[in-house]
Amino acid sequence: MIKIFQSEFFKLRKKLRTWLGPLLIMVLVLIAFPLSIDISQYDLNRFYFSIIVVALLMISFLSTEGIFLEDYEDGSLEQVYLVEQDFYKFVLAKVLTFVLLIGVPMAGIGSVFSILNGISINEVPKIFFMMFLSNLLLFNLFAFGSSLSINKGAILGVLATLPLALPIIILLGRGVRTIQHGIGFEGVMALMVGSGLLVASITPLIISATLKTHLE
Amino acid sequence: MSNLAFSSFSDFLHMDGHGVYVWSAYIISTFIILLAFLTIYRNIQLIRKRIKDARG
Amino acid sequence: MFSSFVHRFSSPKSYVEITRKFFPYISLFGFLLLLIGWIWGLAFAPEDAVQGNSYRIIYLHVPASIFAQLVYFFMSICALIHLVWRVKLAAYLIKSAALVGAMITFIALFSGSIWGIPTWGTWWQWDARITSTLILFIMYLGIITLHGSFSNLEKADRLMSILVVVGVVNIPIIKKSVDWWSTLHQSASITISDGTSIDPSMLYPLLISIFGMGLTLISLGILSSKFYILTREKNKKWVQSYV
Repeated sequence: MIKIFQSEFFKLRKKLRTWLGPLLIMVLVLIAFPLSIDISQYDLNRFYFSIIVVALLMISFLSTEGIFLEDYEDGSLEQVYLVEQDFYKFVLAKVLTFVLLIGVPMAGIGSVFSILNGISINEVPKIFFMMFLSNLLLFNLFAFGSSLSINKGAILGVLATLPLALPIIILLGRGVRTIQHGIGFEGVMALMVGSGLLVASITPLIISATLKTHLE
Repeated sequence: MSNLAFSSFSDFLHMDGHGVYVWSAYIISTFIILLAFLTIYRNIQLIRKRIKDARG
Repeated sequence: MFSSFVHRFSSPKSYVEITRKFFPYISLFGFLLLLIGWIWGLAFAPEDAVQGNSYRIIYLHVPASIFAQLVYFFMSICALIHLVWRVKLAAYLIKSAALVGAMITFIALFSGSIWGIPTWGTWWQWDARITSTLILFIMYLGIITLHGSFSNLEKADRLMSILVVVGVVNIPIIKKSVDWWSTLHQSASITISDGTSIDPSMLYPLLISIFGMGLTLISLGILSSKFYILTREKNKKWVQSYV
């Protein structure tokens, strides 16, 4: 298992475009937004966080688009199937790699920018952790969407799985509000950790079934 | 007829000003449902014809 | 043993023959009930104390909302049958039901929207119910689009079933989270008078409308599935002799 994880990690690290690209786009979007409005007119504190959340949503979709495409096209998926008869370990390793290499920096960027939203420095670790968990959920979800439409293009994945991403967004927004108001954080955190662990362990099973369907 | 909620037919259509909303909702929705029935029925006829022609 | 039972009753041929016999009765009875329910609700039920006459949209909107969700649950049962027992008929039914479901969800959204104008003064309100209905509508579109983009139809069937099952798990999650989210907003939901109980004079036409709508949608679904089965099985012998 460790070996699969290591190989996926090195594979992704080499492909700069796949992981650095989305991160740069995220930074760009978060800078572009304040630039596009009249800051004196609006109190950024009140809604900048929505921009961060939406950026998380879009960039996580962007980064997992085509996550299985290369392996599907160059035959590595078949290789894995011949050896393991099952894709669970492979998918788990791949998704976790993406979460670590892209999701964690995204959470970092998001929490740094959340200071612009008026979150105090002491709270940043909490925000970071929440964003990390949201990314864990979102990456799993969009990896599933991507596995459905493996070579049929990105829009299909969005349409099919976006409705399922909305509860995650609602949860994240709720979590931020608990930090801003000072109460209820433990509850949201518990929900996120619980659902994060559940989703991260079950989604690879579902993706595995989907990939097997594609190979038939 | 004693239970009618409206005293006249024009009253029935007008519904104290809400008639526009009520009637447009019902009429458009009924139209959509009828359209669905007709479209599918027509498609069935078309495909039956095509199968018959192919069969020869 | 159970699977052979399932397989015997799941041939598209027997499905089409059986439904053909019942279709006239189901559709006529459905139309009749719907007509009775609507006429009763529109012309005979009393005016509402709070909303006046605009509440009458309820006889359209509530049945539509109920079936927007019930059709999806039906699809998810078919999806499970298809994934577990590999019954092709189940997949055909999902595809046909999705179109009916998308239509009735649209009607639910549309009627709810129009109802909002006299009630809230706006045709869109981000409240829990209408938002989750919108999400449901998008889910229907996603299922239809997914199935339509694969040329290998067996593969498309299985992927669609997987998506439907994943989606059905999400419906309660979506409902709960949107509900949760909207309690932060002080939006008035659609209520009749006191909202907890509904007067019998309004309840009976509502129940009749619900049953009428249900039967009408079932008959529409039968028609839709017949069309789709003919399309998918058109090279089979039973179809050749059937037409």
